[in-house]
Amino acid sequence: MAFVRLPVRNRTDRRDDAMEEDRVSIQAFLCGDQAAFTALVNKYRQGVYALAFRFARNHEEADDLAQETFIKAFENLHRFRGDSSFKTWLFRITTNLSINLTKSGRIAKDAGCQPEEGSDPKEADGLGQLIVNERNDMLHRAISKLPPRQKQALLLKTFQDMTCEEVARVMECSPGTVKANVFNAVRRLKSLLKGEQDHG
Amino acid sequence: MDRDPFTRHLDEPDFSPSDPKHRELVSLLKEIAALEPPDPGELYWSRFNQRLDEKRHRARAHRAGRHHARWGIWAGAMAAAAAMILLIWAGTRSPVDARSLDDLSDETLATLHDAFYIQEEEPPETVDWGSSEVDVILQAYDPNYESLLLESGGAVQEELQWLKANWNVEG
Repeated sequence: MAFVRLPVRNRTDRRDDAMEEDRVSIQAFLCGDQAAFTALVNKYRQGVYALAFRFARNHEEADDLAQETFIKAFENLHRFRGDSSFKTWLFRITTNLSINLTKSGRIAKDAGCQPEEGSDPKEADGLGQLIVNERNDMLHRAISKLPPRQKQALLLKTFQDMTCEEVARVMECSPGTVKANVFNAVRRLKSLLKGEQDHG
Repeated sequence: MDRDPFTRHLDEPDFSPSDPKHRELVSLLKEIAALEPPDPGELYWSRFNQRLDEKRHRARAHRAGRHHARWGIWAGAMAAAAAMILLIWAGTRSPVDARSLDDLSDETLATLHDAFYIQEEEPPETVDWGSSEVDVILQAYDPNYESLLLESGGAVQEELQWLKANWNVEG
């Protein structure tokens, strides 16, 4: 029995496939196929919402950010040059919108995570979970005190295994700048958490 | 603190720094990576696209309204500017003419004055018409004027001669 050796598909191959698939959908949408855009929304809406929630820490704001991201993408898709992936482009819109919201004061610096109807019930499961929740709240509070660029770099780098190069494309800077921002953010976060623990 | 071991971890997630301080930072980074948003639920996702469409249409309508309002404001501003220019032009026109009249010589002013005086003060009846013109008028009024003159005695003719002679004097 002869075995056919299939090529090992690594992360880069998968990303290239996804980019090609997106490119086809974008072309179809630009030619008037509205359903192609719906396909793109269905593919990325969870990722966009999750990223928005990282910045907003609030369901309503995260929902607004996610919807606004897709509205902007819909209106400006003809300007998408394809230099980066569609996902990177979407994430850039989301982060820019969230930064604008933070600047405008709509995202409060100490906004807490509010439980929503239909949210994951495991969050309030026992004492252990309460401790985890408290620790998460503490982390979120500390993250919200970071300078915008450090916060952006940290939240993107720790989101969906993004590489420094991908984060750099979203932030429109060099990978070196991303690394420096993440390093400074984590160091600052450590001292902020220490300060909070000392006071708590 | 040297950041190389930490940044190496950023490039190679499997790499773990030996230094405890760096390990602490890496651990904190992993903790943040583990932060996940609560699941908004099936109902939320089932309505997401419909809400997006509605929001998109509202945004488009809002933008179209703003566009029309902008055009309205622009057109109003242009009309106001045009009206303003007309008013200014009309307002400045008389003083400019008055100034130019001041600049005219006395001779020109006298000519102009005479011209206006003739037009305003002298009625058409006082224009120096000749006797023949009076005859034409009288003929037009009465086609039998000549016969009337012949038929009438010397008194009527005299009267008419007097009328012709004094027409231009008294009007």
